[in-house]
Amino acid sequence: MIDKKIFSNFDWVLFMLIFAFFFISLGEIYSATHREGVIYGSEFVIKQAVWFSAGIVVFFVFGIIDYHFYERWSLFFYWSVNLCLIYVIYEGKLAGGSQRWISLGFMNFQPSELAKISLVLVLARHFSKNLFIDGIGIRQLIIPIFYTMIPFILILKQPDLGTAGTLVLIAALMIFFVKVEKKTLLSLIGTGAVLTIVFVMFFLKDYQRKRIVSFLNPGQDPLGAGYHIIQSKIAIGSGMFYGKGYCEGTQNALSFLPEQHTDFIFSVFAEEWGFLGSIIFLSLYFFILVWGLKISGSCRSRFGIITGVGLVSIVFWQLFINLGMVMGLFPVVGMPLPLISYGGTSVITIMSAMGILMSISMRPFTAR
Amino acid sequence: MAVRIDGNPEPEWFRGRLNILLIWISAAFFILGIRLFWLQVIKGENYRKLSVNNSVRIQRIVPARGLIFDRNEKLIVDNRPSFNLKVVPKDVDSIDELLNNLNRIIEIRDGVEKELKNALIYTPFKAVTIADDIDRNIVAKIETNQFFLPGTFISVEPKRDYLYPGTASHIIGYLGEADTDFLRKKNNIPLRVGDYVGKSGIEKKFEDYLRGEYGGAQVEVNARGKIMQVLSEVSSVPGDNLYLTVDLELQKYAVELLGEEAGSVVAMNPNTGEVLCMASTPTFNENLFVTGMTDAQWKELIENPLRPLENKAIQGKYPPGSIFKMIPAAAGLEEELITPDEKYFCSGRYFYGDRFFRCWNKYGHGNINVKEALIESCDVYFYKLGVKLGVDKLAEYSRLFGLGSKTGIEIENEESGIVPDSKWKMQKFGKSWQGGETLSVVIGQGYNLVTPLQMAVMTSVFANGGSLVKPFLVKKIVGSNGVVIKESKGSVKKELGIKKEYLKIINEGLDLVVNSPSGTGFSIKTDKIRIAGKTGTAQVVSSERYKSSKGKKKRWLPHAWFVAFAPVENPKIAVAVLVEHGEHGSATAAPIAKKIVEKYCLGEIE
Repeated sequence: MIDKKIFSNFDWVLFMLIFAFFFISLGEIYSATHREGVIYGSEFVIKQAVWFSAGIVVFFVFGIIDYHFYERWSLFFYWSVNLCLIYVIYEGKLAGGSQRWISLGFMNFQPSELAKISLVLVLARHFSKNLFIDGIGIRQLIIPIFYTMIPFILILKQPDLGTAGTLVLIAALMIFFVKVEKKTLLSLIGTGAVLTIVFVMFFLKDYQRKRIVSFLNPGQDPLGAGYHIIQSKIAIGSGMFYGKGYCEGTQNALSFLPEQHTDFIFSVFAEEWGFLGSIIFLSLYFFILVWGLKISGSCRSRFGIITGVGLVSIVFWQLFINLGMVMGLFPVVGMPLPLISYGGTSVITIMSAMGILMSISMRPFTAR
Repeated sequence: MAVRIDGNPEPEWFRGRLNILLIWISAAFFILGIRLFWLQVIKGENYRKLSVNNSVRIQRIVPARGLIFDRNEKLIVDNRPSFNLKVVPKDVDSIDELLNNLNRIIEIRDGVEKELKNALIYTPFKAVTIADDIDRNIVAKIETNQFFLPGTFISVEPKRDYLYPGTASHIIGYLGEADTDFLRKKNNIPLRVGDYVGKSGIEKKFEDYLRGEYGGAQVEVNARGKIMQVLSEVSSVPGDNLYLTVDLELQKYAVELLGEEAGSVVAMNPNTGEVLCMASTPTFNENLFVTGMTDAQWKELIENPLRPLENKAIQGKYPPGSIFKMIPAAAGLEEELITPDEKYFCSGRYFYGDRFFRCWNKYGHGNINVKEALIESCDVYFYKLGVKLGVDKLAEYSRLFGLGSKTGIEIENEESGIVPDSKWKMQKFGKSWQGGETLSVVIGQGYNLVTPLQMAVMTSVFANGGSLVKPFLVKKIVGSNGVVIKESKGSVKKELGIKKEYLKIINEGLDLVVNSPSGTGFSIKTDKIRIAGKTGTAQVVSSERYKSSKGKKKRWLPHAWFVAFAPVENPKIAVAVLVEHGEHGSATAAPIAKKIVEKYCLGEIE
């Protein structure tokens, strides 16, 4: 399974890009938890550094393993993750509330994060055997939709709207990639829109509906999400072109959110580094995505190509939704910024995805 | 017809798909870039201005707590505006200078300096209250000196106002600062340390109804922390209003009648369970808990031997004395151990085991039946009945009448009292029950302990013809929008199944306790309304010890009880009166019961 030759193919670009993000992340978490010369949260920086170290280990383990291994075991991963999701719901019921994680002692592990990766693998396996030059039709969509709906419903039950929604978006992007017949695509978009409306009207929890309302009309909830969006926009906007300088941000002092070092960390960054820094930051993200697509493109195995696209879409959707939310384009949903936001679960998930991408990158010519 | 791709992947096909994907991702990044350009470059100046001094802030709007009315819709608990001096630490130029300036106007408590300096680091934009409920004159001074007091502002918040302090204190309860435990439990409500929440009585039990909903405002402030404009506002929603079953006038009167004595008066509608008054003396001034009291005032409250903070109606446990005799009478008849006409002979004492048990009347009552035994409160008759019943049967009937368990009234910390039986004694003392102990229990002098509320409930059973009612205090909860949220009309009733004819015999006895010259309660007989009742004198020390003291030591005097209902023909009120160490039920407790009945039924006050 491990071939020594692969190390000559080690993807330094991917590796260095990841390091660049670690560097930015630690710097911004430090700044976000630092005020008037007093650090009130140095433990956040240290913890994040620990997560990154663990993430590097995960990255290498996933990278060394040949990606064909993932193909063979994808169905097993997929159903194991679903079992974990069921277990979490069951545990949560016992605890008399909602629960999203399984406690491993040293960390709380969220199976819903793993569901993103297992879904990508199982869909890639399925599509690699069912490709059509003119795109797939309705009948070929049944199985992929089935694969998506199971973890989607289980995660929705937790309830974690953000992650469940991301799952659908990841699957949608993959389906789009393997090409869908035009009329099927149109009817899919149509039913999707109808289903979304029905869903929002009947199945959302009150607080979730509130968030959407507050997004559409920020005046509606000026004390909660509406305020967060306004403060985030002020922080970003006040950075102007050149930014206020590192650790010179003032908006984080408002403690408008307990989440300024998690979901809203970009607002801290943009305030300090301005438009110039933010564009460079976005370029870095763009580059890592393009690089991921390049890795896909150089792969000779269908499974490798489609998995690569799926992994890129995990990172893409999370960063797009997070940045859009922080800039006031989308409603506030709990969504961390990949590789930047504070938090072990997010770091480990993204690093496993990067590890699989590395595995594909190191074996461009090993066709099945 | 779709063509399935088989064999090796076609790089060209995939490349085409990847390129399309790249275009879409580029488009998404383009949108983000444009948005950044809009926020940071085009609108940047604007946002920079807003960011200086964090000028967009949230202010909390405290809701007015729900009002409390009595059964006649008379307002008894209100809110009044209070003025609180607050400071936003970040808006202050120099904390020391500010405190210096403030000290010339108002006395600042210790520790504020440290609190402000801490807040400056951790929550620099959160207002800190540095003096609350300040005088209007001082408010005026602060406002005229505003220029020298940057960062300060006066916030007007509603404060609880008990309009009749010391009247229904134990029912209404009081407020106190929310503790961290409570704040954690209610973490979905923007409550803060220092907010007042219900700590006892109705205020505590109905906290979630009374509190109301917090509102807030998004405001824009200038560099000195002055509000320039309100961006948007969510108004607070006042709490729900409560309508009690209590008649404030009757409650006031009951407290007045008890006067200096420690004791309790409970009156209720025997048919519905509505509590008409529930007094416990001494009372306390609920407002002291809101305005803050001195150490001396607090000490007086907790060290007073008459225990003003205790709600004696539900927390005071007393031996019932002779008012208990209604229960063995009912038990004896229902179990058919005695007949209504069967007579026992009372010689003034009764020999049981190895000693004599005395009747209160040492000359004896002669040959009497159950009705006469109740009228004259003959102990010997009940000794004999007690022996026949046995303690376990007696306990069974006591429980039937609600003794030994909480009545379930809304307010907390209710005591259940004690109903002794052989099992209880074995558990408690590890000894078996002695026959002689039954004789003490049957006249209400044994281990049995009851609360005044339980006695009112027991009396109601006789008044309403045999059902156990659940007493309650809150009649109606009405939202601030006028919508009735909850309404109680006489709740759970339990038919006890005691034959009406037997109840009638006992009720005739209770009637004649007051209305026949030989009755122990004859002193309160009145022509205006026919009252039925029962006297009780509950010894607190042995009779020898009591006699040796010759009544000099008040704490050795027996408790005085009187329970009553009226009018006999169609009872509208059941009353239980307890006067701690009031000596004789007929002398101290009965007149109070009579006045309460008259006041409620006839609207008279002497």
